[in-house]
Amino acid sequence: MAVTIFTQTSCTSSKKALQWLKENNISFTEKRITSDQLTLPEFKLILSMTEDGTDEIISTNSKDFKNLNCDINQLSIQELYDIVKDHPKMLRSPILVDEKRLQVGYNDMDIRRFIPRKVRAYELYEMQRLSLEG
Amino acid sequence: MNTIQIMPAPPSPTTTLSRPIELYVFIDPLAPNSWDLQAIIRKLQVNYNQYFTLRFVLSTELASLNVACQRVNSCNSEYEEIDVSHPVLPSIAVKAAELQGKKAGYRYLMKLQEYVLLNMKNVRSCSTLLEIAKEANLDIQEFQTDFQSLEASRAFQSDLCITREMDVEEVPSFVFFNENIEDEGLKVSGNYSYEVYEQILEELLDGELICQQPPSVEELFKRYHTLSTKEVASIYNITEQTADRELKKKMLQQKVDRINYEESSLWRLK
Repeated sequence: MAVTIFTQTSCTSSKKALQWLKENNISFTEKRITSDQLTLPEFKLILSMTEDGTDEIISTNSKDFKNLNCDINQLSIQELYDIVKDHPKMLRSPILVDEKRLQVGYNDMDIRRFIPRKVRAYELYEMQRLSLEG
Repeated sequence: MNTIQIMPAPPSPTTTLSRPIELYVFIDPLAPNSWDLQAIIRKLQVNYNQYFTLRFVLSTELASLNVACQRVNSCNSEYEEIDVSHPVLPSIAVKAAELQGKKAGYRYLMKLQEYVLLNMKNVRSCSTLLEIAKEANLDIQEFQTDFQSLEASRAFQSDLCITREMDVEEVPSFVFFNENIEDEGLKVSGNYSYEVYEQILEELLDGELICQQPPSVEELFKRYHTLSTKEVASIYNITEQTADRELKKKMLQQKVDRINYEESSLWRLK
């Protein structure tokens, strides 16, 4: 699965992240949630990659969130989605997600996680050495 | 000199900034030895949570999934209930639970493994999987919808893709990625002792690990819900006898329940 990036209009971090993805030849799909409504499967995909559900992705400083004046921990997922789809600006931006991880905001070190990497087997002798040391 | 300053935008919050290691643990949720593996993972989390993010990847042997679906019909007085049972269903259920967040998925996985360990019910059947969702405190309505959704089965397929992509051929396997993107990920296949994983972590971080203080027993049970005597002893570096004594006290205080399991005990938050 390629990277999906959820962006918002006039968001500098979104622009930086898009620029970075292009420069590093990483295939991605952009979804601008301020003009193209977030779908329920997309919202759930994001949720599934968060540690704690909503804390990481909701911008508690945003005007949209403050105006709502509600305790999101009391809401069901469906109720929360209904609010988020109509008030996309209460989400942090950008949100990058692939099948392995989620990243919120732009940080030039962390975004490098999206560069594909190879895996090598840890050699048995290395393991034996560790067992002896341990 | 007071001049008007444009405030620089605060750095965007990120989720992994302070955690340099990405850890993938490949498991078969129905494997009988998964409880021992969980004990190792929990100890790593308790001691070194600040260093790594954890992602469970379900990699059930495909051949074992290739069996016919069973329908278990049970008649009750008012209506006929049809319960479906298949070995792929537990994996789909974990992915459905995960759609409510990683922690929800983890709670579900642990509850499922507890059922497997205690061999209480057929965990391949829809009715048991739903019961586990209730016990894991999930949003039940959402879970039921997701359990039958395309998203949950896609999420499971995606796990199988990661298994292939990282050349994982046996469960359990651990794959570690450090911060340095030029380095390859390190794959550790098979079961090893806690110390081996600890050493690898140290090697990858290239420095001495700082072990966190374990939380209080209450906190520990809030986090993991069910623990064995051996696990508690290992986390607090005390003998099993001492752990058993302390846990008995908690039982008398009505805080935990004891479940006898083989020669040992499991303790469950009340």
